[in-house]
Amino acid sequence: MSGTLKIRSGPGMPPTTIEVVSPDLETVGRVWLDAGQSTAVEVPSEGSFLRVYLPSGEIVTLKDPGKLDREVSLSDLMSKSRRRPRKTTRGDERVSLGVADYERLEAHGADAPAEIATPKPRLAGDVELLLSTMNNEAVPGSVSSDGATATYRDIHSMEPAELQLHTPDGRFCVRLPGQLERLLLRSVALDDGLRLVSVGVRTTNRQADTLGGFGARGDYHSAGAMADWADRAEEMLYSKMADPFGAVVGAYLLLRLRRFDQMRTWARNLADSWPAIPDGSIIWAWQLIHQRGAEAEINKYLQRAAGGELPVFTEGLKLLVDGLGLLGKTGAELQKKVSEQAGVVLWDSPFTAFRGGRAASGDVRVKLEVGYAEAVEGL
Amino acid sequence: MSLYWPDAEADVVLGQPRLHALVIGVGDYPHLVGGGGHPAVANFGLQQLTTTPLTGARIAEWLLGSYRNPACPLGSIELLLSPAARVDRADGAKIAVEAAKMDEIRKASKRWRDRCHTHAGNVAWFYFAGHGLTAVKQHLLASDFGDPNVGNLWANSIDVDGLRTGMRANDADTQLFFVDACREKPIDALVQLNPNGDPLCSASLFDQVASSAAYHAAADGMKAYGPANDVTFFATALLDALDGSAAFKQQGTWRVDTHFLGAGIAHVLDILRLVHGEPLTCNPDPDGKVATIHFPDPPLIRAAVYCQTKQANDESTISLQRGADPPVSSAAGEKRPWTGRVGLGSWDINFTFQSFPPVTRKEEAAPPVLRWEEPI
Repeated sequence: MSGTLKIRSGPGMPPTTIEVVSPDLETVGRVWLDAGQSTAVEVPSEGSFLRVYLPSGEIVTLKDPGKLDREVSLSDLMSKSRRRPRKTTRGDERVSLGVADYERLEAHGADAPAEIATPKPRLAGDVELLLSTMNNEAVPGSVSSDGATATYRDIHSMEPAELQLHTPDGRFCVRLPGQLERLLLRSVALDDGLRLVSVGVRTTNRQADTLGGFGARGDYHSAGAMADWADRAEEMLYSKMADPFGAVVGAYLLLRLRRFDQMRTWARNLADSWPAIPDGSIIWAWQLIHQRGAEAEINKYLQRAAGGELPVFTEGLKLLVDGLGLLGKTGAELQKKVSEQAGVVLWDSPFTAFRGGRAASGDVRVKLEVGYAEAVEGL
Repeated sequence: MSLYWPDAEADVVLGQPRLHALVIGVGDYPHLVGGGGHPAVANFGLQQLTTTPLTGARIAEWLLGSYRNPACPLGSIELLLSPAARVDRADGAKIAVEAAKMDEIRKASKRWRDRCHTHAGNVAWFYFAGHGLTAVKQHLLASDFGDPNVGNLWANSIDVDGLRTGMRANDADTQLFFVDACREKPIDALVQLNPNGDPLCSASLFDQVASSAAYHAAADGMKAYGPANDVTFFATALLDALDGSAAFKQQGTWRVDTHFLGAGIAHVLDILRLVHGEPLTCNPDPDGKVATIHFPDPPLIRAAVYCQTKQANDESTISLQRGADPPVSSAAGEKRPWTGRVGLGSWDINFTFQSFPPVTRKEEAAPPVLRWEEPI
């Protein structure tokens, strides 16, 4: 029997994409809900069920046949989630950050190792950290007494930040948004003398983190057909003066979906208002390329982006390199400059991350993984 | 000759929407470690591969036998394998396939691009399995990479990012790039040598493509390619995704599009990672209009079934039953998690043990995957 299915997102829920599926597995609708929001979807049968796409990439199916008023709660998701510790060459040991790590750190519970504040936290494995903002001010962080985790909290810079990790066999750099609620690092020894350093990023904009996390996985799920996604992205781009990093995330999605009507000329304002964030220039140049805009302006913005620091987001670095490849000889020279600047890029990371320093030996002993807090592992 | 299908150039249908594929599988690298040729000046520690030529052949076989898109049927398959081989086609024909040396790749690529360029409705399909080196750009190594007789070390490599950019000039509105190459990172060498491979083609600033999607295997290290003498993990995940794990149902028809494909590959790799203990991931990069690629009929999805503890896994006999279909069974002592492909619908998952009571679970199999961990 058909009807109207009401869906509510419970308190504390992360922003999620919810798919409504009929009993014969046809997708009836897709919606995006933030905590506390609700919506209604016409369904062909009371047996229709929900599939919740979590920021971690996991899909949780929620069935409740006959009920047309459903609340999606965090506890439902936690009980149905089958996400397990990531398997490594050493077995089942957990090596990545998860929600539990964040909750523990937030709660400062009795089981959490004591934290020591320092300008240059040092993680286990002789990994020295330095987080700086654009004016090269070192941001102090805390390191747990066992050296396993380090935390930075509440950074509110309108310019990009840069995290450097000095390890025994080289230096890593990670470009980051300046608006960070939490940056959590964990260092774990693996087999064969290898060490994995995980970096989990949570910005002050949870919607942008969710969109960025989906984007980093290429997990668009017909976003082109889902107005909610594009509308949120449009709102983020519109709010560029309040949150330029969220605006960049929204603009990358709109650019990918070719939603130029929703981008208007806001990317140009983003580029001009925030020159220290090269992503804005790259987005505007590519919008012009797609819309067959003025060649001189495309050149100008791509050259501007290539002339300074690397983009904050990996997607920007890719678009910059591709765009320069279309500019002939000048572009080729700039492409070479960017290549030298970037060293060896970690393309899996949503934020531009690269191994910049020269390894002391030929062997790489430290591996770095970077992701949104929720996407690295957990809900 | 590298035309795997159809038999002759004259048989290739042009001027109507068709999928034209260029598939390359390189395992034999004479100038790299363990190769029989003159050693390269820099071999980056890269060795011979066994999985990648098998993968190239398997992808061609899938395209010929399983690809289904009424709006854009199969048009042609160029196949290059190293070592060169005679490949059995499903219809019994034996095809002599040329080696995946750079000259042959350039020639086959030109034929492929020319065919793709004949109709906007065409789908251009590029698949490479072999060694890759990544700095800012990713370079795919042809079989004769590192030939000391060639002045430029990088001359015998494909700049795949440049290829994707260059294909913007091609009329095919849907372009798919599958890069099944580990991102080996000999850091100092890459930074210092400034790699510059051959993009095979070029585009101007305003050339446009409606839908361009790239899917990169992102694993590091040789074991992450795949089990010896079998296809790569990435190819397994891709074919699983196309056959159903990336499918969604719209207006009564199951289909796979450029956006769902990336998510489907990732979900299958997640299971393969669990089963094989390798750090397998994928970087999907779909750009532009969503394009439907394939219509699986009926869809099959990847499944993994296992228990929480080692003892339960060791003792478990697993049987999956859907309606009156013959059961899928796995005896105690076999590898856990059990993994295989299953059809959609309601399955009874039965566990029997020596030390625990038997358990039956009812689970719905729907894309992307069926994954059941019994809490014992």
